Amino acid sequence: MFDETVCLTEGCTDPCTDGQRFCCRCLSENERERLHTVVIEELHASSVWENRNFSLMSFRNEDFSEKLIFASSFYGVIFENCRFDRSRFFACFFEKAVFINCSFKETESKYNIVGNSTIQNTSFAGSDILFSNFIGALIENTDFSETDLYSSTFFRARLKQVNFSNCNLKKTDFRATKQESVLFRYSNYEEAFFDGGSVL
Amino acid sequence: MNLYPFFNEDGFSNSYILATKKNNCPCVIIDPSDFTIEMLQLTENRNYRVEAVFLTHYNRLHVTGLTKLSKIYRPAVYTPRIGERENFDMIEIGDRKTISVGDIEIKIVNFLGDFGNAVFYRIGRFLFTGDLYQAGDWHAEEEIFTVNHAFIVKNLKNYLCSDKSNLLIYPAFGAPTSFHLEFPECFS
Repeated sequence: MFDETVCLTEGCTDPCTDGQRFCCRCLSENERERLHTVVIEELHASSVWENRNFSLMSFRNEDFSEKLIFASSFYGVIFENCRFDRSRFFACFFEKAVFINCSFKETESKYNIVGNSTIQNTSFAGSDILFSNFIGALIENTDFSETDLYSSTFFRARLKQVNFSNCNLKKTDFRATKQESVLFRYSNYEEAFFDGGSVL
Repeated sequence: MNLYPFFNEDGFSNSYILATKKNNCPCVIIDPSDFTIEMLQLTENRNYRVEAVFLTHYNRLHVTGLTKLSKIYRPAVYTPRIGERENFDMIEIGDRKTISVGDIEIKIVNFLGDFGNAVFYRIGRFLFTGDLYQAGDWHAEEEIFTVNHAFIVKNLKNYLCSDKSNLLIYPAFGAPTSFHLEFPECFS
C-alpha cells in the first residue's frame, strides 16, 4: 500500500513514502549531516591523519592544531575559520580547496600541492613550507612573514596584498605570477625566480 | 600506494620510496641521491624490503645513495642507459614497457627513443619525471628551453592528455605538481 505523508522538515512540502518521516532529499541531507559530524569527531580524536581522502566537504570553526597530516587528499574542501597551528603537513594534495580566515602558524609542511586553490585572510607566519606547490592559486590578504619557502612554487598564482617579509625565498618560484601590493621586505628575494610576472 | 619523498641537501634533489602497503612489503626507490638515516629508519621500522632501484637517468646526483644502499640491501638497479664509470651491477631497461616488483607495477615512459638516456616512470597515479620535467616547465614548449626539452614537454602533454587522469608529477628537483595544474588547457 502506498502511504503518502508530508515531510516533517520545516518548510519542506515534499511527500515522503513508505512510512518515513522525511522525504528522500531531506533524508539524504540529514544523513550527510550526521556523517559530517561523525567525521569531524573522528578527526579531532586522531592526531595523525594518514592516507585520507576528503572531497566536497566544508569545515567551519574547527581547531585542528598539532596534527600530523600525511599523504591525504582534499578535493574541493572548504576550510573557514579553522586553525592548523603547529601542525605538520607532508605529501598532501589540495585541489580547488578554499581557505578563509584560517591559521597555519608555525606549521611544518613539505611536498604538498595546493593547486588551483583560494587562500584568503590566512596566516602562515613562522612556518616552514618547503617544496610546496601553489600553482595557479589565488592568494589574497595573507601573511607568510618569517616563513621558510625554500624551493616552493607560486607559478601562475595571483598574489594580492600578500606579506612575504623576513622570509627565506631561496629557489622560490614566482614566475608568471600576478602581483598586487606584495611585500618582500627583509627577504632574500634576489635568490627567487620572478621571470614573466606582472606587478600592479 | 604509499609514497615517501626525501630531500638531499648535497645535490638539492629529491628521492622517493614507494610501497604498496604501510609495512611488511617490497618497496622501490626512485633516484637515490642519498640513502639517509631517515630513509633507513623508514625501511627498517616498516619492514620494507628494498627490492629495486630505478634511475630516471644516470647522473651522479641520482646514484650517490647506491653506495650506502648496496651495503645494506641487494636491490636490482634499473637504468635507461648504463654509464661508463659505475661501480654497481645495473640492468639496462632496453625495450621493456613494464617491470613488476612484488605488487608494484612500474610502467616505463620513454619519449626519447633509443637515443635517449632518460625515462619517466609511472607507478599508479604517480609519474616520476627526474630531471626532464619540473613544476612550471609547461611553457618550455614555446619559450626559452632547448629543442630537446620542448620536445619532451610536448610529448608529455600529449601523453597526459590522452590519459585524462590527474597524474601527480614528482620531479627530481623542486616541488611536486599535478597534470591539472600543469596543463589546465587540456580540461577547458
